[in-house]
Amino acid sequence: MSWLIDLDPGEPGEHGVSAGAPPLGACSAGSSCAAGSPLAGGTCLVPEGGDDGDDDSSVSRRSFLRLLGLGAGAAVAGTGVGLVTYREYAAAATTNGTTKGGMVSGGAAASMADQASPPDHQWAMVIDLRSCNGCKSCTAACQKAHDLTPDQTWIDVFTMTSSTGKQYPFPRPCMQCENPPCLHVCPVHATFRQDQGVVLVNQTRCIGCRMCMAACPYQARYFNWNAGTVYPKTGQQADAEFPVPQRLGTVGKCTFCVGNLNNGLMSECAAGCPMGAIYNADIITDVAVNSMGNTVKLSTFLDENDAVTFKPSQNTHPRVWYILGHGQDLDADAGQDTPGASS
Amino acid sequence: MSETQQGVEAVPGHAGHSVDPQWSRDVRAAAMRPMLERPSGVWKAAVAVLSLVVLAGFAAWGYQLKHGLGSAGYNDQAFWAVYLVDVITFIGVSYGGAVISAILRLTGQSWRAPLTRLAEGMALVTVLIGGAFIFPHLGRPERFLNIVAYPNMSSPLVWDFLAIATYSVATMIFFYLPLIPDLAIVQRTLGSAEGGVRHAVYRFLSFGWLGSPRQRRLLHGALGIVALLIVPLAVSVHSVLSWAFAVTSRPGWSETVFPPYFVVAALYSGTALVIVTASAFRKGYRLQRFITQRHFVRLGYLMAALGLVYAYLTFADLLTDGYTGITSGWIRQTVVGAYAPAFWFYVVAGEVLPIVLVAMKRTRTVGGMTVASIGVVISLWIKRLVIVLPPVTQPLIAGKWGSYHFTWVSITITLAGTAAIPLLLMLLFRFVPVLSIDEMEEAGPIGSFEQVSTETERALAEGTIGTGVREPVGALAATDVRANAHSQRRWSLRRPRGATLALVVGALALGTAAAVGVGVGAKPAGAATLTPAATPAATPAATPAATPVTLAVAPVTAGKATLELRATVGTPMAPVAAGTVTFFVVPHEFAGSGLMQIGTASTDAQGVASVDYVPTWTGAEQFVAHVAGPNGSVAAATTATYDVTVDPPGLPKSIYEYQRPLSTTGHWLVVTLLTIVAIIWVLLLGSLTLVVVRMPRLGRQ
Repeated sequence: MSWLIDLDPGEPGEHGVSAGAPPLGACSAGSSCAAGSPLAGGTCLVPEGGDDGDDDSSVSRRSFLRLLGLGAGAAVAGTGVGLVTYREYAAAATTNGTTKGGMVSGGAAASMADQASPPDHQWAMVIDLRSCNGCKSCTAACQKAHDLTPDQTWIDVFTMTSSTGKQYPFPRPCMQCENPPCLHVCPVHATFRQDQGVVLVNQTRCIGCRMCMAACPYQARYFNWNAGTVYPKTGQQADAEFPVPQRLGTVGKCTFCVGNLNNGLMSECAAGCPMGAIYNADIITDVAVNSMGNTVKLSTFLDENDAVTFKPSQNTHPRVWYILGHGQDLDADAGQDTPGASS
Repeated sequence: MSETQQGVEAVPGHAGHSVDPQWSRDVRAAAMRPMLERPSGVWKAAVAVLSLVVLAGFAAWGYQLKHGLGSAGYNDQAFWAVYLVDVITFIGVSYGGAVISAILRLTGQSWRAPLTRLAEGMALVTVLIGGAFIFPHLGRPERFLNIVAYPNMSSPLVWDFLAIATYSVATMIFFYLPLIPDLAIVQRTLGSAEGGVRHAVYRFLSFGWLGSPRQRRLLHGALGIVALLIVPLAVSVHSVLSWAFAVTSRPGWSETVFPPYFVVAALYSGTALVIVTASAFRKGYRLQRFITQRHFVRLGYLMAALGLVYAYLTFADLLTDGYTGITSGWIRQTVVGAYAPAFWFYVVAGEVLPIVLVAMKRTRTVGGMTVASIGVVISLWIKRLVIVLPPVTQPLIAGKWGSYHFTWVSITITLAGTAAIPLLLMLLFRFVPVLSIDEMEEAGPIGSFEQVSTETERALAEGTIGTGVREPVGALAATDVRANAHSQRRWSLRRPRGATLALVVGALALGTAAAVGVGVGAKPAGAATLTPAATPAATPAATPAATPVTLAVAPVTAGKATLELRATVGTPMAPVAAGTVTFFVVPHEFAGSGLMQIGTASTDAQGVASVDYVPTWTGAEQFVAHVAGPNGSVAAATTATYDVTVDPPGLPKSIYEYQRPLSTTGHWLVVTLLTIVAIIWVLLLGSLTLVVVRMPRLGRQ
């Protein structure tokens, strides 16, 4: 339930609507825990087989609805359509799920069977511009995975001009700001920040006002302007973590492929980068990995390479860092500035 | 209550007024002609044409709903465009109409009398149209009420919604209250015989108005409160509308000048539309005798003054960004670029032309003022387009400017909104008098143009203010009673107005104090400190290697977060000194990830190398140690797996502490603002309820 998640855990009840939401621990009193198991930490995991297609944190929402006696139909008749597979892994993983802000944090990969406790993650990204040749494979991989139109460049590769007039490519995903302007201006809490720091859009809530597009300093948001390229107005849709297909009249953006990350996989853009320029990273475990299998300690990597964030003056605190350069690491033209390879 | 046909003199109206019967007859005839006569062919044709345009707009909207906002010319680099401009423009002119009427009312400008109904009617109609334009603006209009269901109080749009809703209700009440005496007059003029339903409706809506001094006091008191509230409400509506732009970081929008900029634009265009409306209805409804050139000239002066202020604000807006040049792309685009024709059209038709027309005596006529106003109304719509589009289409990172292209959908819908103004006004004045009969009778033929009623002045001079008037309606018009009624009204008007003002200001002050107090006192709690206790339950799984290596992990200090990874190379008998050992940990995430290096150390004389490591993972951690061989090869390697408990599991996410905007003062700011909104609603609805409940009772006394 997005309005549970996007509340800062430290500030419960800032909004009137949240006052009625029970803390997750309270669900042990509800019938929903019959399906899961109430655990020591006040957490219960509910098998996530079905969803009404609303949003990601169906656990707390369902508990809430069931407590109210409202959601029985929706929960019982959960169809299981359009869910990301990692959810099933999440359901298989057991015990001490860390909870924060009233939701179960992302699950762990099933392959980590020995991994008794799914840890908390704080997803991040590092883009090493020294390795980027501007091939736009990241954009293509992202658009393929998310069924986007060519205009909807959730990760776009801009052509920047250096001080000496040379051009270099600059991939720009959603910055997953820790202080996201889009979230602050959304009138209906359709944009929310889940507890792994990923800013997501609930497309079943969004009213299509585009205030977030106005607020984003990175042009990272894309609207679904035209029918025919998106999902019809009614029917099922997957949750905010995997909003595919897109919904007409709502806004979409890079999700960091948080479903992949929680499933032990890389994001589509990072996996699709032939140059290894894009690193998926986790701030908690302090690790960053690119498609070449290069595994680095995130904090050291950032420090040693003087990584920067984009537009720090905007006070957005991005979760995406850039290592500056113009393709120096590329084999083809090492030591030279790459001419704008992006067309 | 007599319902038979009566002469004008006997019709309840003005206790304490000697209404000139001829004047009264003329006013009533003119005001009610559109209601009582059968509509002319021209009127019917106009309504038919306008209705067709409005229907075409609805059809276009239907098309847009089916095909998406892209059919209206929108794209990702022009995500806000014509509909938002329409919202601002229509609500802006509404604001102008209401505030002109309210200010003239509050300052006792009796010449306003023939204009108030038109101005307030225009305000009512345009706020409804402007509000309606939010729906084509939205991608999912059917979810509009999510704003009520899931409001995010830090979003300017939620406050927009609150402000527009409050202002709309205030506009309706502000239209309705002065209408009550007129509805009573209409009811009596109709008579019960003709038109049963109509008569009953008017009778119900006039709530037993007889025009007794006490009823008059009640009505004017309520009206005073609403008129007083409408001014700050209108300011708030346009300020909040402007903040929807100004709170973003976009160059060209993030301007401190925006709230007054929008407020003055609204007043300016609103005054202009009052002139246009008055001009049209004066001609079409034959009101030339009542709305004269002097009205137009006075409104023209007001408009020219507002125009100068607006020109000043426009200059101030352009200068600061343009001077430094840091974010001046939108200025170049506005002044010499793609939007230059639109911008300079505004300068000529929206500033130079109206001011020249007002300044020259020869053009200071009804026609001249009308031309000037039409120029202002059109060019201010264009000006808002120029405010919205350059910052929206600017590239924020790199690349080309975006562009917005009008399509038949957006043009049709905008034209439909424009056509809806005259259409709704024409329909409205089929049901309510086009002139405010009661106020015009009160003002009289001369007072309609004179600022201060001579009678009031005399009453003030005679010191009769403050004496109560208890006579019922029927008591006719002696001069001293009249004076008393006047003075009584002035006094009773002032009190609730002052009290309202004090209440609002007091609440504001209280809220500000509270907000500041909290802001100083409340410091956000520190980030969760990192005090995990690492307890390795050692079951090292040593790997046989060419050079014997053992890897052990132990806490550096019990209860602290840091672990020590210690590799022993060689045997106790033959330690390998000065070897290089690299330590790794195996990450748990991201398919294809390799070993993550923790650090490198050299072995000492005992063959021991160690590094410190802060674990982040509760559960099994796999550590690896490589002993460097010649030429970067690995001479030996070993692996050890430990169960690590990091307690508590919540680790710092980053050095940045995420804070919602207004999170320190926000609770109190939001509570304060909502309290003020609630007070305004109570005052608005309370005024209306008081009138509705007490009016019939006072009439019976």
